[in-house]
Amino acid sequence: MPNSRQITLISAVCIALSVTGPFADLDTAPGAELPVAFSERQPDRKEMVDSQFKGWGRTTILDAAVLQAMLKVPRHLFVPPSHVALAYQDGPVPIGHGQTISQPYIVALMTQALELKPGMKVLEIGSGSGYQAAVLAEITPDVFTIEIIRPLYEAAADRLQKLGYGSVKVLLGDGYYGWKEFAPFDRIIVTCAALHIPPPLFDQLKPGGKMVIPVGGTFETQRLLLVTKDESGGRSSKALELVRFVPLIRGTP
Amino acid sequence: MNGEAKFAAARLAPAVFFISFAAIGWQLGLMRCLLIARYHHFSFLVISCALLGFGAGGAVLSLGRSWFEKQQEKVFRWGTVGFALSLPICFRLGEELPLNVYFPPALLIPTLGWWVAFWILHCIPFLLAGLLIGLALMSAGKEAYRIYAINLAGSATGALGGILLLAYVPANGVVIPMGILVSLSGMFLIPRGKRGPKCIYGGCVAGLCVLLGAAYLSGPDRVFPLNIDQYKALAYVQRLVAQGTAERKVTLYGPRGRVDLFASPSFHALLSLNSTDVPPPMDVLLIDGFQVGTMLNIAAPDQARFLEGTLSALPYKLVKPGRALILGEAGSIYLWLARLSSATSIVLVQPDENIRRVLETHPSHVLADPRVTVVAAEPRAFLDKTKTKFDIIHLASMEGFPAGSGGIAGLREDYLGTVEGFSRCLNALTPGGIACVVRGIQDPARDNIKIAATWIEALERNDVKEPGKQIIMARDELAVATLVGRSPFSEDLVRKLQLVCHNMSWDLDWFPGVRPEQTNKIHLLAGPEGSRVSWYYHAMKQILSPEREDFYRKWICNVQPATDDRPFFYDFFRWDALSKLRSVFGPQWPARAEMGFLVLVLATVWTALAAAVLLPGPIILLRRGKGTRRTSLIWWTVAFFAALGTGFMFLEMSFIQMFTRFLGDPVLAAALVVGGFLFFAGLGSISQPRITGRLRGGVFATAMAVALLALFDIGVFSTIFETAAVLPGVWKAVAGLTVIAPLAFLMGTPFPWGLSMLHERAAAAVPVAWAVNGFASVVSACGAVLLAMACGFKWLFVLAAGLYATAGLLSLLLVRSSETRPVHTNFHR
Repeated sequence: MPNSRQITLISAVCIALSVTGPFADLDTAPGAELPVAFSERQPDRKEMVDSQFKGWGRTTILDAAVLQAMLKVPRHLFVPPSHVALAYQDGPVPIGHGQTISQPYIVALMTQALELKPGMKVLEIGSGSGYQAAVLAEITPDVFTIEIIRPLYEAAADRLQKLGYGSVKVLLGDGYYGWKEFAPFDRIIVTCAALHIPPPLFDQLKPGGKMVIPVGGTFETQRLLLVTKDESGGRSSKALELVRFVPLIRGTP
Repeated sequence: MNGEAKFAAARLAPAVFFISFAAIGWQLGLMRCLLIARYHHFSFLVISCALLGFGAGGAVLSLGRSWFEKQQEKVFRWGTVGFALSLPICFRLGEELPLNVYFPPALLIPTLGWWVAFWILHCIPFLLAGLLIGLALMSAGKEAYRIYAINLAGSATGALGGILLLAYVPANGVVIPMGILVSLSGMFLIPRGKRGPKCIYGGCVAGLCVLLGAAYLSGPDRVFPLNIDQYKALAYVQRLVAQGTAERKVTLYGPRGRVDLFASPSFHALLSLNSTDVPPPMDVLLIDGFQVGTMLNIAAPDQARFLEGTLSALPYKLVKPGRALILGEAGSIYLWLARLSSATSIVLVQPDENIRRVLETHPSHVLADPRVTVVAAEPRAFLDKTKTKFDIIHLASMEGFPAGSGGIAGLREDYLGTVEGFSRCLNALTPGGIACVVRGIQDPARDNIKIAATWIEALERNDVKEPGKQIIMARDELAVATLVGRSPFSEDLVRKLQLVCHNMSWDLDWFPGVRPEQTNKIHLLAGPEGSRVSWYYHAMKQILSPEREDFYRKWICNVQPATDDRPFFYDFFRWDALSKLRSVFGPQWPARAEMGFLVLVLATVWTALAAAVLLPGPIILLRRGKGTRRTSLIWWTVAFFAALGTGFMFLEMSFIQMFTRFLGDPVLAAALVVGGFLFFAGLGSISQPRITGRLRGGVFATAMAVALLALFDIGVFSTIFETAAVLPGVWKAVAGLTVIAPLAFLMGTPFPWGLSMLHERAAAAVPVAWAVNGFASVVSACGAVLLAMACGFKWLFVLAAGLYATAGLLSLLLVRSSETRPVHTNFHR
């Protein structure tokens, strides 16, 4: 949760923006009383949570903290104005610069897979729009996110700050080597960039830590890897089923 | 009339030649531009649709025939200038459109709208070209065969010229010389008589040449910048360049594609979660905007030691190689692995000259090792010829980490990834040798199952009774390494394998003697319900059992091995999987559905529909013309010219496939076949009056000869292939042309004969014939690939033979109906 200094800063920003901008009515800090930005399109978010997080053979999202975060974070503020109509659809949304914001179900599934608890430190490689970081920040304040593309970094940092996620640390840079100053992390989330290969962040993961790696094309997460570091430093992984799926047709094995 | 027609033909000849040249040459250039800037899906769709414009030109000609007849010379003159102008203008405008490869339902209409606009823009030059050539054919009367021959000659030269230009000129610059050539041909069309019109026209032509020349000197990238799709790897690295964190090292152009090499400290490809080492800097190699390889930017081989922690190093941990063979690597990973090993000889087979150049000049000096030999050849062609045996063979060209569907790459032929190709690979192994393919994991599993199935069938072809004893499947989080031995793996090797995998935290899905509880322990993948094994283990059990065919039928992706007759390894599409994918994945089903095949079906249907819309108009007009309504003649025109257009395309595509295998180079094969067919068909066209006049049976005889030759070639070509396989490249090309020449020569006769028949009986039907032929060619180009994927290339030969036999019978029908009933039909208004 934002601290008092951050709340003051946010309020000052909100006053400055009181005549223009999408946050014109943002007059209170999140957590104290929901600002207007967070109350916008709540029915859409409820519909999203109710309809997209189960069914189609999907792994049901049951984690209460995750559901609460997905209900709260205004996803539509993380997409370009031209695509606001798509913000709550059951699919990814382009955000420019060759990036997309993941399908809501995938965001929820990855967050649930992390088994995040308040107080845990989580590192995200590939901030994108900052949406995933905001969702993580609803569960734990110690979120660290790195973005390599400058315009995306600037927009994400600005957006997260304005929405009251000042505790999220955003860094412009190559996240391949993690963020050593704040390592080790309890959890790591890696959104693979164009080259589709994950970085060797294993040594920045605490024993018992988990890393989630979505693998796929630009518009579709094909596979979700959950990598676990055991107490003795060994590693194992599991492919999380996006849907319960038997790839056989006409009959049984 | 004859004199006038000859005169017209003579004046139009240069323009017809260069218009034909530019139409084909620009088709190649545009295809390359779209491949670089967009994706295979869309480039294929646009090209196949743009060629519709060619047939549409004939339809337009037919609809306004009277007007075009009156204004022939003016239309041709200014049409040539228009075509020259349309090439650069339409291309530039197309690159300005805000296209999106993402089609969300809420924005479907505007997204589709822009793509339709893109398609229309690219159709325009081809429509103009089709209209102009049709007009020339129409005006030449009985001399139409000369115009047709010139059209074929121009097209042949354009095919070869286009490929040659792409070797030296950026793809987005090809439009400029094409425009200049067409403009220059306008010099032959300068009006005679008054000075005013002469100067105006000459001025326009000269001005256009100067403008285009200036554009070329300014640089194609400045005047015709490619709008690279934001989601491509090339766009990503360009973004890094723009913010100063990457640098372009090399850009090379070639007929196989544009090669780019970029360097950045932010490039980190190919590592494993195993490694705690800081990886060295890596350069990224792109072809046509897609990442194809990684070049380590290192000063000494020891800096590549981290590669020993990757799955690709597994063969080297099991055998100590004397000779290592790397097939088709477009990077340096496998080269460094081989150099780090005890190999005494390392052979790299790489067909792309530009990639070889990048390897040779790269600062890491990856080739600077006396053990390394580079062979310029296609991997399969090398395996067909080599007598050397190797201890380790890496099928590097089959490496890939596609997490999603194959897209239009599913239509790509790959003769290495066939049962016959894998069989050749086995034959090139020493008795203790191992071949290895590393490929990414997908969900649902498909690539690696197909690889394993192909190895199993290749082993069985080599009389191996228990192929399961010669296969290993190991994997990490992201990829599967499938290893195959020339001989059954020994117990010692299996023990070593298990130890290595344990130390490296790799899972084993298959090895000789494997038990289910030994698999799927570290990197858990889904498998059959109630069991703890992965789908890979399950697939291996099924393929090695009598249930193999049943498994192929039931698996959601097409995992049946490819063969030389159907060499489409990357085609995983199944119609009966679509409904299941939709029911399971909901709105995200297209990403799993192997859209390549569907795009091809869409292109075929779309072009057929367009033809169905554009053709009836001219046909109806034809029927309503004054004089006797000859419905039978109209249907004859449609049937005859459609059969010719389709048969020609089917044979051409089949020969391209055969020659790709024969010559071992798809670009050379396409150039030789397309150029050869068009050239010899042009000769046949020029000779048509003499041949059909003297030959008993006329065109019926030549068409039936084509049909018989086509069937003969299916059987005899494999013999020729085997015999000539050892010949050097030039003699192989000569041998190939010897096969093509008589067939193509005869194929050049029916079309001009048909046109001359129409000129006598119903001159108004000539543009309809041209339109029908154009549409048939386009539809059959897509249809040929579909048929080949579904049934194999041999069936294309059979169908083509049938179509030419049909055309022959139709010619007989027309001749006999003319003998019994004099023709008075006059469709002129």
